[in-house]
Amino acid sequence: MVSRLFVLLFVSLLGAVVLFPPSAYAYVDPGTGSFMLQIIVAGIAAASFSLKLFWGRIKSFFSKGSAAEKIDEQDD
Amino acid sequence: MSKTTEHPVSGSFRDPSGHLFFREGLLYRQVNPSYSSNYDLLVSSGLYDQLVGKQLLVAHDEVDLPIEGAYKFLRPELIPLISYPYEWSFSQLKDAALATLRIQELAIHKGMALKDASAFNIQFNEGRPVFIDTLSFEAYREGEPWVGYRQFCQHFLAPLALMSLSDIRLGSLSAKYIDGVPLDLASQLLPGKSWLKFGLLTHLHLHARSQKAYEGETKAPVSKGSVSKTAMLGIVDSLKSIVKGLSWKPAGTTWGDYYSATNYSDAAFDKKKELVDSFIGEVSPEAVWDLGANTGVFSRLAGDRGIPTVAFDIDPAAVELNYLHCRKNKYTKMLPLLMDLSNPSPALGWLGEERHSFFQRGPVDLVLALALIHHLAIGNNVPLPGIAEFFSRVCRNLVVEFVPKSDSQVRRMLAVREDVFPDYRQEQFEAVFESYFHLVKSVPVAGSERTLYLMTRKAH
Repeated sequence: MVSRLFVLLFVSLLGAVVLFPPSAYAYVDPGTGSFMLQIIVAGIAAASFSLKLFWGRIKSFFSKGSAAEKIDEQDD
Repeated sequence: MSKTTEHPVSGSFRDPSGHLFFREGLLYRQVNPSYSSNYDLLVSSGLYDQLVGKQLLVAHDEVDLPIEGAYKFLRPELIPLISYPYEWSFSQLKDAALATLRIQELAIHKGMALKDASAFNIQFNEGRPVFIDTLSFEAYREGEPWVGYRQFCQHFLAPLALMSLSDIRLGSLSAKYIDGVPLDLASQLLPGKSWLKFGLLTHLHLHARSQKAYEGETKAPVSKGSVSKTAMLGIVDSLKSIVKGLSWKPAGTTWGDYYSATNYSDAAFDKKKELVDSFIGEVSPEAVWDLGANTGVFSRLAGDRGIPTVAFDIDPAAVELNYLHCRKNKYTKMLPLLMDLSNPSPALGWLGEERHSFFQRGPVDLVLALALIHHLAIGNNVPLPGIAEFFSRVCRNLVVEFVPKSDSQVRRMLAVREDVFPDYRQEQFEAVFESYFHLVKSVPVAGSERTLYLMTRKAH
C-alpha cells in the first residue's frame, strides 16, 4: 500500500492527470506497473529529450550538419 | 498439402504472428495471415531495408512453399551458432541492449515499434549483435506506452546494472529467470548508490515498485495520449544513456593475467602456436570451438583462416577482453562465450526445449583443448575416461594438450591438496582416449613438458 501511495504521489507530482481504461493488445504481458511507470516518466522523458534535441540544434548551428543527422551518426 | 514434414523450432511458439520451422534441413519462418499488415508495413516503410543495411536485423528471402495457411514464408540468413544472454560477457549484453534500443528508435521514426524486447531476439553474427525476430515489429500507435519496456528492463537493464554495480557473476541470473531478472530482485540486490542514478532510479527501482503496486490489477489505466511520440523517444533515449553509462572493468579475476604467468617461454609459446596452427590446417574444419580459450589467442589461429570460431571460457574477464579485442579490430570470425565446462549450459525453458544445451549445439568439426585437461582432471576431479567421453560428445576432431604432473601449473594445483590422481599419467591418458579417438599425431611442445595431440573420433 505504501508503495502504491508512493507511485501515486509520483504520478501527481509529475502531473500525469488523466487515466483511461486499457487499449493495448500485446502477445507478451506488458505489465500494468510497467505501463504506469512509462506514463509517470513520460513528461520528464519528453521534456528532457526535447531539450537535448534543442541543444543539438544549437550546437549544429555552429557546426556543419543537422542535429538529427548528428544524433543518427552517433550510433553507427 | 506437402509430403515433407515441417519440424517446428522449439522456443518459437509464443508469438501468434508466425513461427520458425525446419523443412528438409532448411530453416524457414512462417508469417501468419494475422501479421500480414505489419509485415507489409515493415517492408513498405523501408524499415526492413534500413535495419538490414545497418546489420541490425537478420536478412531473409521470401520463398514459396507448398504449404497452406500462411501469408508468407521467409528464409532467414543462418546464424552460425545460437548463443544466449547468460553466455555473454558484460559488453556483449550491453551491445545487445543498445542494438535493441537503436532498433526501437529507428522503428518509431518509420511508424513501427518493437512489440517485445527479449534478449533472446538478439544473436551475434559476424561479431555484431543482430535482431533475429522479423515478426517483432508492429505498427506504432502514437500515445501508447512501449509494450516491450518491461522486457527490456528485465532482460537487459537489470542484469547489466547488477553486473556493473553489484557483481559480474550476477549475469548468470538470466539463466534462471528466462523472461528476465525480476525487477524487485534486482532492486534489492543493487547497492544504495544505484538510487542516485536517475535512470536506474526510475527505470529499475521505481519500475519495480510500480510493478508491485499494480500487481494483480486487471485494468491497465492506459490510453491514447498517455505517452507521446516525443516521450517514447525520450524513454528510449534515457534507457540508452543509462545503459551506455554502465561499465565493468575486467580485473582481479582468476585468469586476467594468465598469459604473463604461464609455463611457457616466448619461444615455446610460438612453437605451440605453430603446432596448433598446423593441426588446424590438417583438419581444415568448418567450425572450431576453443574450450578454455582464455582471451582467444589460440582461437585466432582458426579465425585467421576464416573459420567461424567460438572461444568458450569460464572467466568473465577473459571473455570480456576477447570480445572487446574482436570488436575493436572488427574481427568477425570469433564469438567469445562464457561457459563453465564442469557445468555447461543446460537446455532451458518450456519442456526444457526452448534454449539449447551446450551439447545440443554440437558436435563441432574441431575442438581445441589447450592447457585445459588438468583443470578438468585435477581441478574438477573428473576421471580421464569421463574427459574422453566429454570430448567424444562435442567434436569430431580434437587438438588436446596433455599437461603432466611435473608441469609447474599442475604442481601448483597439487601443492595444497592430496594427490588422489594415480591414473593421471600420459600413457594412461593415451590408452583412455584411444577408446574414443584415433590418435593421429602427438608432438612434444619444445621448451615445455607438455604434448600436443591431434585426434579423430572413432565411428560409433
